[in-house]
Amino acid sequence: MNETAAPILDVRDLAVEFPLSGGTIVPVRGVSFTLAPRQRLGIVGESGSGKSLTALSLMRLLPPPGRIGGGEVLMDGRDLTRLSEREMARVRGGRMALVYQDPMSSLNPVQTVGRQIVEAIRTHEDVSRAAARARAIELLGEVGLPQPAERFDSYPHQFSGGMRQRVMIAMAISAGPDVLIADEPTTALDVTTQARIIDLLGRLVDQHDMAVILITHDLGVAASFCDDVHVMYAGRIVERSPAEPLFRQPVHPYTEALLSAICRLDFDVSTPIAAIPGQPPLPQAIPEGCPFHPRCPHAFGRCTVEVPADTLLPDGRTAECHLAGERAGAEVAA
Amino acid sequence: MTQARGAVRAELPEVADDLVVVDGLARHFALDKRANQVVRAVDDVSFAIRRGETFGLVGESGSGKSTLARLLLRLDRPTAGRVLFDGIDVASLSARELRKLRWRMQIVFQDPFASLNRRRTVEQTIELPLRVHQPQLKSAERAARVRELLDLVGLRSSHATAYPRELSGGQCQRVSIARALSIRPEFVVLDEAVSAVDVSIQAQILNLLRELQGRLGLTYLFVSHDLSVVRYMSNTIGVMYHGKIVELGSREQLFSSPRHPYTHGLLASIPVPDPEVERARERERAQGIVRDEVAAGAEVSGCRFHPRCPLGTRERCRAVEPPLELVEPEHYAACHFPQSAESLARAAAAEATPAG
Repeated sequence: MNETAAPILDVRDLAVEFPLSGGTIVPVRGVSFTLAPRQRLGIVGESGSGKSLTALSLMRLLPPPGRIGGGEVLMDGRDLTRLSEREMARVRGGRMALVYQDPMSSLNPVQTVGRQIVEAIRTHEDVSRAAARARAIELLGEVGLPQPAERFDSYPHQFSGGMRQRVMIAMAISAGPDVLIADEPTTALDVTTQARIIDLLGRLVDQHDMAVILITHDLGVAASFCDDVHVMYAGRIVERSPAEPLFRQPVHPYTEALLSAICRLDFDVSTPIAAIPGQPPLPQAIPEGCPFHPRCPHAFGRCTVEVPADTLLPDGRTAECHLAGERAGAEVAA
Repeated sequence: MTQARGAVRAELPEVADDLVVVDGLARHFALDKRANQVVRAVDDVSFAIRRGETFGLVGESGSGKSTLARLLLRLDRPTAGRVLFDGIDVASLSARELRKLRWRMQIVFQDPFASLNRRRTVEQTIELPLRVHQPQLKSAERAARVRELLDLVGLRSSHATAYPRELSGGQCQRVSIARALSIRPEFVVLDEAVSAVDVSIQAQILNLLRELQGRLGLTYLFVSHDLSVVRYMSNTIGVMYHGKIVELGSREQLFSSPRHPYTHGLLASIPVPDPEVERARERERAQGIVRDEVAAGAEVSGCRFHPRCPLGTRERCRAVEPPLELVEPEHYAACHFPQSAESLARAAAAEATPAG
């Protein structure tokens, strides 16, 4: 983890809550992390783990009635959770931009893609239409759209899914943000297109000195892109680690179980896959103690009553597990 | 094309071993009748599914794999070709005969929530096919069957009275499987059956499907965009691209010695949960194993994969559609230049250099 540079984003004890008729549910609880300049951070988890809500809350784009229930999101010493809507609008798309899963639903179907990018540019920069147009064509070329000048006046429906996502990325980087949040950017795409979009994102963040938070359910995508990976379960970050050791020697039993549940291309077809028993908990029914204990093969008495603290390991990794030290130690010894 | 079909027939004779035989199957949709524009969603597809085995159909969106699955169950009628189920031509059947045949074939869809009626309890959902196909069953017999089915798919009997909204995605998919199995079919089409569920649940469902196949002697058509999952589930695999099977072979053949450039591209694109492996593969992809999808709908001359193929600039690929031909016993590829990934990368590099 890149601890030397001052973080560009410092998230402290973030909570997201949804006041519902049956009571308030808290699908994200006590999430803390920092993002260094140029860092590529992956937040992985299954559906309902709170990873997308975490991303949306950083942008203050939570779907109603969701709201930030506590904590701070610090950028340049300012707490984004306390900014006025007007100030936040300048941050959004300016210093921090978002790429969504579904490019079709985030592009305006009745406007040409060129016009949409020009608008995005002119929202954050005082430039002439002609200059914005030239910049938009340049951006479209940069994201790998063939014949960008001719494509400028096309409508989103004339593009394939991969091309639309390229347009979204062009729009997101148009104001030169410091932080790019990509929420399942390739989930709706075919596998061959997905690989090319991930490779493109990698090149762009390097060229433009951006830091990225990649939200994904796909550990393979995280492995291909991220320097560091945080694993979320039941609304909490349960393990933080540089990518390399996470995939080789996971500390948290959930990370370990998740990695063995993947149907890999080299998996022995004569044996069953090591599935995780049971279901992930719903936010209104988080188990007592460690939220993973009902599905954990290593759980013991303490796990059922006491929420494990975030244990900092000697190598800088962390895990919310009562056995974290032992598990990491055993692996170091082995 | 007849040449390849002949070859398929010679290698895979219509013996009693084959439960499903697909022969020259096509489904074209008219886009504009006056302009004579058609979409060839399925175009001259032939293969056979052996009894008790799984045939995997892999392809990206728009490849025609779901249309093909629907044709097999006669949920749609082919433009040309035929489907034989246990030797019976499904197109020739009267409505009554077809209903009888439907006992023997079932389908499980991708989205477990959308394919269940949210106003019916689990029990009502599972027993509906029994009410339709076996009206003579007494209610106690039906209830016993429902309990047996719940147990079979790993649900508790207390789930019988639950509604879909009270269940997780994985549990809903188990209900869909129980419903499909309620009338004891021989053949089940699994159309992206695990694509909408989380990793941990996907493993549970895949294990369950394999276990049920062993216990009940089921024959599967397993349709998916996910090559790793198709590999795990299938004995024989067909790779579809724009309506055609471009490569067909056993699991071993397809994964240890793939020959079609599109299959190579798919394999190079699957993200591997290992950062070290991924860094090496990014370079491999940068060498241009597969280009971007061109805009949808355009008719392509010659080989339909040539606009995305690293060898696609060759004259023959642009002019002549390659038939599905034998590359080794029981392994077919529709490519003028079938070869290994290594030799393809070399050929592509050589081709790119002189052109500048």
